[in-house]
Amino acid sequence: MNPLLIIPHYLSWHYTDGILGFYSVFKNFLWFLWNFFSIEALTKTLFSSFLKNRGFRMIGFLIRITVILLGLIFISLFIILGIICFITWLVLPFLIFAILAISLWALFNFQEI
Amino acid sequence: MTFLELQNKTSTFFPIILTEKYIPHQVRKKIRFWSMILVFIFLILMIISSSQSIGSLLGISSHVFVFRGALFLFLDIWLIFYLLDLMFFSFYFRENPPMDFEVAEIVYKTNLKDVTKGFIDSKSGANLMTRLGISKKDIEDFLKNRKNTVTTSEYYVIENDDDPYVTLSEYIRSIIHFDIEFLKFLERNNVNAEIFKEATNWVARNQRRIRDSESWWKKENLQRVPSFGKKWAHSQTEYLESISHPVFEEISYRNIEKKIRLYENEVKQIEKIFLDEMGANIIIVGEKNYEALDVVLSFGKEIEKGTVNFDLEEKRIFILDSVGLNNLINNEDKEYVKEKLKTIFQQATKAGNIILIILDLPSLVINAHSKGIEIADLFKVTLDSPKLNIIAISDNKGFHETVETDFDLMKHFKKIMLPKYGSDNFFCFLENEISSIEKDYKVIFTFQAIKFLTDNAKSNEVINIINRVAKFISSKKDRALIKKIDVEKFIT
Repeated sequence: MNPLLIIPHYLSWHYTDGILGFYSVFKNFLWFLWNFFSIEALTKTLFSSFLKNRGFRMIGFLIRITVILLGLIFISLFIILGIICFITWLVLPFLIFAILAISLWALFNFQEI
Repeated sequence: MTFLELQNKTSTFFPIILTEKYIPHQVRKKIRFWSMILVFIFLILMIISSSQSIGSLLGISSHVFVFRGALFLFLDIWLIFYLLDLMFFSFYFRENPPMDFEVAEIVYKTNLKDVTKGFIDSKSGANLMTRLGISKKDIEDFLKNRKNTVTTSEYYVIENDDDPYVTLSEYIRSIIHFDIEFLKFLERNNVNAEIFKEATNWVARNQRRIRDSESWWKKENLQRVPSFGKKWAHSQTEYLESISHPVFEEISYRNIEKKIRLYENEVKQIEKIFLDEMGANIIIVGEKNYEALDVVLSFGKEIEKGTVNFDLEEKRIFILDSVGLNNLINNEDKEYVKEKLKTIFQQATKAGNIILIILDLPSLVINAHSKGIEIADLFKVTLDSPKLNIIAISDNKGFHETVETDFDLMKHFKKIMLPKYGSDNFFCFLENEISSIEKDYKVIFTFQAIKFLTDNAKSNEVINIINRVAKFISSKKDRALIKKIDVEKFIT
């Protein structure tokens, strides 16, 4: 059996199940960030007392709103990153060959790239 | 399922069988690791050589293009092997496969004339034989001297259940059903069918666990990461705290870490029940009350560490004080009792993240009954609330005599029966421990060695003995396999 057969099988996976897998992992991470920053739980208790002390309500509000905003910023950045990664994923097999060619050229021609 | 049918179904895994044949997963992992190291080395060299002053000083400024080329080359290699591993995991964990990947790999490589050899030559086969303490030489002699072989046309998988999915355990166990000579060879090596079956399960579970832990991007693994901010999402519980205390104030809570793995399955069951149904209530029934309480404490510890599902991370566990609760119930004024409990439970419900623990439910039921109170009525608000969970604890005797017969009460609870923690359960609990000890000391325990320990040593001493044996054998440096005879010395 020819080991080069891996290449067509890989390419077939990359553009079918690979894309579905990419989407699934992207969704997992979005879900992870949403929960990691406890956005839902903090929103529900935004105006509750803080650290068992009713007097700290305002401090609690500020801390919670800061974490919520931080979480939303991370999620937005992750969505942008996800779009960039998806576009990269589409051209990745070609990119690998391009990087390989450039690196070998740089190594053996010994010239600035 | 016949061998031919199995063969046809292996096509599901063909791309990764092919990849595994030429570049196995372990090799890919090593290549990825070393190429990443080289990427960092060449990155540093490139930065240094780009700097006029340091580069000239070290005399490497003229090599900047070589470093750059090498950096991209190793980055490319890393990327290629990373993508191959992504493909591997995508196929390995694909939905509704016909069989375990390990089965497909064995079937694909098996010669039509010899099913047993196909298995023995596989990674899973080699792994199992090592775990059974059978040497390579003995296996070679057996393969060379046997009179008959089982052909693929004679073999079929004897499945344990109606599920057509073929597990590695089912495949391997079917081999000894057809290959009597192989079974006799195993028996000559002190491996009977039962030991073979249990060791097979162990090997199969181990392989699955390793793959599971490697796929960190899966939801099951991501949800175990402690979240940020859930601790700040709490509200008041001072009334509740007048008749209860947080789980971390329980004395045995401090030492529960050592037992967590023993109750891993039960903690997972609790998680599942709470995730499936908001406000679900559970009754944990153990041989003794303290065993059931240990499960709750383990669950509490997992919440504290943030290693439970995200949706349960903010939960707070309060243990109702038995004396305080019984004293309250003993009060002559029934309306006062009901009002008092109502106030407490309303606050707990409002908090929205409370799990109440009732210690020894049968005693509470009996006491309340003697005062003419039905517990189901008294706790009605909480038992029906989707915002409050109750975990009741009971011993076997009390459960069967008092609680199980109270249908009004039982309809509110999902039941978790704790098994008797005999050697089989204990073996499962030890699997994780053994893996990490083997990794630390670079040794391998045979199945018989561990089985002997779980059957003969006191449960609280087993881990300690395993550690001592592993340390002793690893210090000898002439071998890595730990057999039954090695552990026997440590017990006697």
